[in-house]
Amino acid sequence: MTEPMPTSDTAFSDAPADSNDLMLSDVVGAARDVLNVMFFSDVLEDADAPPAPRPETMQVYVKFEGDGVGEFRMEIDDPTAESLAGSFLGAEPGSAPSPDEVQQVMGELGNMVCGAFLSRYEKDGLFSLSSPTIERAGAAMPSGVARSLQLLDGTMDLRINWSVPVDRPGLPG
Amino acid sequence: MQSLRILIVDDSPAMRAYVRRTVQLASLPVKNVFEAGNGQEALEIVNQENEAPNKLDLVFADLNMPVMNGEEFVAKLRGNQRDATLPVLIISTDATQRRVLKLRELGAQGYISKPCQPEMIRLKVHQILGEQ
Repeated sequence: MTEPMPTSDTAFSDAPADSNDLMLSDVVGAARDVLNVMFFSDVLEDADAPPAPRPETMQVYVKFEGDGVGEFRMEIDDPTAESLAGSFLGAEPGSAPSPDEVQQVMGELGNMVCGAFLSRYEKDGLFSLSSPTIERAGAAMPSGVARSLQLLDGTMDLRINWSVPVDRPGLPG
Repeated sequence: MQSLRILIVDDSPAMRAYVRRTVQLASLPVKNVFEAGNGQEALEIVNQENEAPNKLDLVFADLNMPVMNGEEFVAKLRGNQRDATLPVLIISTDATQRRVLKLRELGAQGYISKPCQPEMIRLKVHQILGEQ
């Protein structure tokens, strides 16, 4: 018998609901800041994300460790990635960035959103981030929180899974 | 402000291109731009360029890089008497207070958290180089 697929709002077994809400709020806020300032884009709305990656998406992974240990994942479709990369690189209208440039920029975007999220979520923490890796057809995360963002340019899904959560004494649980 | 010779250190070519473009948008008088993909490459460029009559004026450095990260780079730079005063401005996603304090203790002159706007870079550069 197979395990049920995790849903978008699946809570960590050891993280209180308030912590998950805070995490979702912080990751959406981090993405909004990065997209506004460096990609000239915006988050129009956010909603529950699908439990598994959408087909045909680029998946950017960043692992982090330090005061907590976990993984961040950003999933984005090719047209959205190309549009955002063009904005970041200041591409002239009508000229598209190369596939290599799109991958580099999406890696950087994943790195920035993950770093900005950690700086918001755990202001006094100390973390180190892995270099971003990019895959296609990745598996669903075993647990964690996820949010789907509707951007000016398309759709982006963000997922976070802490294997060793930060101890947050200020929250219930 | 005199024409600047700057070094951009980041493992992401896309981010190096972004910093280069942002420096231009910030209307800073940049004469030469050098680029390195990690701290080790950056030390080699610093060593080479500081032999020249016109030394480097400022380094923009990322933190999270392979081979030699930004913290190690700053520490090694500060350990070399000749390059100990070369200003380093860190541009990174990691903006936690402990990280910023650690970098200050190591000897980084400034810190900008990504996402960052050209105006912030312009202000920090003027602040670091002592001119308004």
